[in-house]
Order: sequence, then structure tokens, then C-alpha cells
Amino acid sequence: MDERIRRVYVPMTETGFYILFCLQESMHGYSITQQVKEMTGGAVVISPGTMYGTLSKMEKDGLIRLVREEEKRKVYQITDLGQEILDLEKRRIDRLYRNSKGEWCHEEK
Amino acid sequence: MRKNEALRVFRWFGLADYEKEEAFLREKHNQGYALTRFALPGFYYFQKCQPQDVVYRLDFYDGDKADKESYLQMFRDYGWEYLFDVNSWSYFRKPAAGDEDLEIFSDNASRLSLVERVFRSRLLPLLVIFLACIIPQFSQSFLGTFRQGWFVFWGVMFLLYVVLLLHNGVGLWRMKQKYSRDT
Repeated sequence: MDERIRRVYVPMTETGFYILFCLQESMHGYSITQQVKEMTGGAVVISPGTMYGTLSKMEKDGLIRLVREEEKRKVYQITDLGQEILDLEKRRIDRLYRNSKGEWCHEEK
Repeated sequence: MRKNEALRVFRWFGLADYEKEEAFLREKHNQGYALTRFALPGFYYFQKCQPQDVVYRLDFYDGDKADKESYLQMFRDYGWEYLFDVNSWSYFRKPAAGDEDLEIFSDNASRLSLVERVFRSRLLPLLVIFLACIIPQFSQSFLGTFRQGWFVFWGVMFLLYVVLLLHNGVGLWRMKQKYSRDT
């Protein structure tokens, strides 16, 4: 993996994480915001300017790709590179979570 | 003014004053004046409307023209009414009542990205013109064949650019500071 991509995306912002997580299924911007709202009980709301900017940047960096357009809405899906980043991030968050509970992680690098 | 327009107001806002501009337009709508159009350098046209709390938001779009429609569609999906574009700034509005999502940016990273894009595509060109044209012309008219008219003209241009660069430069720097915390 590109060092630059890794530096930019790991660790990831909350917005970035939720968008990438949702795009394991193909979705467009507004439907991602709706799903994230539901997932988080309304705690995380991603606004359109932030959504548009993040999607454009992730597409440019090759983390997601455009799969089709539906009535002017761009539908995206995660790429292999994006999945790799997401898995790294999930491992990091899992470690963080376990540490926050007072557990130690011995098997991690 | 066009037939449906009841009010014209002149207000000048700098490159970094878009949040002040948003507040100004919201206040006007609260007084019963809805924005219809805007013309540079600062003419705002309004039509009479029911006084209502309507939030205005500005975004700087410097992306591909081909992607503009999907960009606008995204804002519409979130309930924003798109008004028009002036000088790469897109104007949106949304009634405040009954909607808790009144921001177009939800994190500081994207607010900073806006400041950086405005800096790159608006302030930098201004600076280049100042350095490559205004300063040489001004000093030439000052030192060389001293002709009153040109000296005054370039002197005024020089001052205008200094004021513009300072106002916008300091303004953008302040916006950057404001949103740089905890990112």
C-alpha cells in the first residue's frame, strides 16, 4: 500500500470511517448519511458539503469507485484498496476499544 | 431592478466573509426579504416575502463542470434549495424550522478545505497580479517618466490591492485558525 494513502487515512476521521464502512455496499451520498444516522442513533450526521468533498477525495485516492449514476446521483462502492484501509482501521479501533476496557492486546504488531 | 424585486442593497464582503454574508442574508429573510440574485461587486436583490427564519449557506465549488449537476443534486437531497452561482460561489437556503441539519459542513476538515480552496484559486491569483503587474507598473510610473495621470492611477491600484490582499489574507488566515483546532 502507498505510504501516502496510509498516512492520510490511518487513523481516519469519523466521517471517513462511516462513509467507507457504508460503501461496502454500493450507495449514494444522501443514503449514506441516512444509514449513518440510523446506525448511530442520530449522533453522527454527515452534511452535504462534507459528504461531497470526502467522496471526491476518496474516489481520487482510489478507495472507492463510481459504479453508476442514478438520476444525477453518483453511486459509489469500496475498492480493494479501500477495503484494505477499512480493515486496518477496524483493527485499530478494535484495539482502542479493548484497551479502553483495560484489556491488553498481546498479539498485535 | 426587475419587476418582482422590491429591494436592492449594496454590501461588500471579502473572500473570507462568507459566514457574515450568510448571516446577513438570513437576517434579511427574517425581515421579509428573500434573495433573488446577486451581482458583483456587492449588489443584493430581494423580493418581498413572509418573514421567516431561513438559513443561507455558501459553498465554493471549483470542481469539474461535468460534476456540477450531481453536486447540486446532493445538496437538494439534503433539503437545500439551490439559488444560483456567482463567481464559483453556490448559494443555498433552507427554512430553519423543522430541520435540525442546518450546516453544509459537519467537520472542521471540510471547513478548512473550503478556506484552502478559496486561498488557492482566489487569493493567490490576486497576489500574483500584485507582484507581477501592480508593483512594477507603480514603481515605473513613480521613478520613470513621471506623468501625473498614470502615477495617480497606479497609485490607486497599488493601494486597492494592498487593502484587498490584507483584508482577504488576514480574513482567510483567521478562518483557518478558527477551524484548525482539534483537526
